[in-house]
Amino acid sequence: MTKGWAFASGILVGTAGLSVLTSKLVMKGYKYIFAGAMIARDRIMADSEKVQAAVSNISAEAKEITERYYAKLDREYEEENGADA
Amino acid sequence: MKVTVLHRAKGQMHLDLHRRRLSAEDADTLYYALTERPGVRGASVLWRTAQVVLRFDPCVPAAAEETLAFLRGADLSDPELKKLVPAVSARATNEQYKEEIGALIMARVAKKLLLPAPIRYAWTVLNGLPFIRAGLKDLSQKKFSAEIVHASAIAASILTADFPTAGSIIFLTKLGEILEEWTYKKSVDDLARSLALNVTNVWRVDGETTELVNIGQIRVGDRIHVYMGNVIPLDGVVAEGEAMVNQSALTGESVPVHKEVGLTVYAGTVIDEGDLVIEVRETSGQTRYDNIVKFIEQSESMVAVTQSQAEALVSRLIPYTFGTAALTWLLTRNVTKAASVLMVDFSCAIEVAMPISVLSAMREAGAHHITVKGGKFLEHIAAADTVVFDKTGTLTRSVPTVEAVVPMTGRDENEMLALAADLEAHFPHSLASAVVKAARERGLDYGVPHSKPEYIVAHGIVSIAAGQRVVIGSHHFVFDDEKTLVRPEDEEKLHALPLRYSQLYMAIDGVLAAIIGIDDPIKPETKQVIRRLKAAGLKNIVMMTGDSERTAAAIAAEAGIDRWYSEVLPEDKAHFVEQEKAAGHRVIMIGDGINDSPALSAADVGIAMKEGADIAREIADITLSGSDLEQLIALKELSDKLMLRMRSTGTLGIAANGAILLAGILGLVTPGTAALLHNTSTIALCLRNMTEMIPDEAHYSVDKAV
Repeated sequence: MTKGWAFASGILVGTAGLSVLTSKLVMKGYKYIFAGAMIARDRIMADSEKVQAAVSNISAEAKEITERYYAKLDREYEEENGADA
Repeated sequence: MKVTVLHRAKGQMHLDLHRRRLSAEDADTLYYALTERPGVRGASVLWRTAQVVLRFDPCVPAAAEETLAFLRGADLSDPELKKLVPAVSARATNEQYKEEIGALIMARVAKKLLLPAPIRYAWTVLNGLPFIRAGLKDLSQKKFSAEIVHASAIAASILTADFPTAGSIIFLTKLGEILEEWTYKKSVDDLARSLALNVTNVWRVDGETTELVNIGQIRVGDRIHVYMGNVIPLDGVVAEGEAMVNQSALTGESVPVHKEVGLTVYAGTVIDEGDLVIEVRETSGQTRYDNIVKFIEQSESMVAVTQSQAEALVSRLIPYTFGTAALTWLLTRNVTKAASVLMVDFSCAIEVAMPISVLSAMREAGAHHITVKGGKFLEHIAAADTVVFDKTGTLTRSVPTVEAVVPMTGRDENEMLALAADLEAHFPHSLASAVVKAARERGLDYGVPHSKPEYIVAHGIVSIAAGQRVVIGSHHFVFDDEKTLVRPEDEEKLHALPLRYSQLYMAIDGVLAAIIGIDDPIKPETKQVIRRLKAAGLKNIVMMTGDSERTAAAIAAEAGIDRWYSEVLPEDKAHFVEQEKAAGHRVIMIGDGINDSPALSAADVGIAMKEGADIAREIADITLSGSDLEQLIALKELSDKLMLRMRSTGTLGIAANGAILLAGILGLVTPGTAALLHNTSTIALCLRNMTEMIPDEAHYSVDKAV
């Protein structure tokens, strides 16, 4: 008997849930949920652009530092061994 | 425009444009305006944040300041700047794919974070169904494809309730598909863009006058005049005249169609006979671009032979992939391991990376101003051992000049030249243009209307002028075919011209009236090019010409060619090509005139010079711009390197995937990782195949300065 009740109440909750999900009021809410998702996506893409710019700034500077480092090594080598080496 | 520098490093600048964000249109304008600037190596337009990252050529130190000044004074709504944006923006395409990939990744992360497991699994199953359906479809058609392999891996994971694995396989397969589509589209677009840039000129009819204008200046409703042997450049309706039009480029039908007033003609078709005045219905731009893309994608010849062989090999390999997976499962009883075997499919590298290498080679050829109409032609060039050159306009300078006009007794020199120009005016042959040019230079009036001249290919022209029958053409045509007589008093004038001149004979009413001497010296680079072609493995170099033996021998000796044929007819050229082919040679034919057309189509590869007749260019498989024979060397090198690249694509693809497969069998990697590694290796191959093969263009003009 209890099993039957559980089944019946399950059906009831299920149908009620479905009718809630398809009710007019909630249906109106979906567009906002989707719009929210899209805005969130755009925000993330915009943030990824910022990251992209930051990364390329960092790598450009890193390149500069590396070049300076080797230029310094070259200078030191020249000073030690004479410029004609 | 207000611009602030946010960050500056050597060779790079990060700018803020002080807007909330950029519209797609502004972003395009900005991108192309910036990349066109000297010293700018690359630009990333970050439209969502209205920022720009610019990279500069370190050799142009002032580039950063100049670009900054340009941007501060620039207005993105300026039509001059907007003109720089091509019909299909590469930036917009890249942006679209970036967005797709971003959305895919975000959806996956959001699903993992937000959805409860059962719903996630249901979602996975739903997402997997299209893959399984595609696999079943191919299986029912007995087509062994990569789809079947993917479908099996997904199905196996779902059936064993391994939803996370199924989910990651689906995700990675989708990601791989987007990346592959992106790389493919980028290659096609790059190629189409380089082809669309090859601007052509057209004759615009404006009331009484006809002038040569750039095709970009033509508006809807303008009338253009298209002559025999030329390609109709734009869609339109016939306003005057009638003609037989070859529409094979469009319909595949090789029989010419009769066109008369009121009928529609299509861009890309060729006038075989007659001429037309066409009222333009559609200007170039988007349509033209779309047509080129369609042409590239539809062209069967795009697929190189090596590639089809490789693809056949792949479909033979697929059953073995299944065998290996089944064996793995039997031995290990581990579905996950078996699925990771399925995730590695050998076809991707070949199905995607190979066409990309071909497309990229075609684009690179375009960068050297060579238009290649299909990948297989590059392959033929790599394999060729015989080159047949047409002399006039190919080996020799493409602008022969009239050096002397010898009138016979009682004839006036200028009158004769004007009459010759009259006949030759509408025939696209380099000797004809020489005559017309000489007449124009002397200020002669040669526009006299007369009944339509008849062009007898490689022989000459017959026309009726002022009731008299006028013929003009080669010695063979005028004397042997037309039985022209020479007055006794003119006999010695026959030998008046130096040997190296090509001679055109003109007769009026059966009596020789004038000889026109045309000098056509060989191009400065010819000798060098012939030598280098020989060095590159093209052992058999032949010259064919309609000229006399004397001229031919002189030119051949100068160019370093040991085999030549003089006074040949067009069908002889084609016949010779057929003969060489039958003898087992791969033949390249290079020519420029209507008379070369049969030989161009008979050869394995027909190469036309751009200055030649449209019909030759239409028939040819490859066109070289201008008169630069050195492009041949570039073309040969490009073809050889493409072959190497295609072979190595096969080898590398099989090696990399073999290693992943082994790792999968040994259980070192999960199916998800296997799929990731597999896709990464494929994309890496694609990216490698998109790189330039000839690093330095300057390399080909070495001997020019000397």
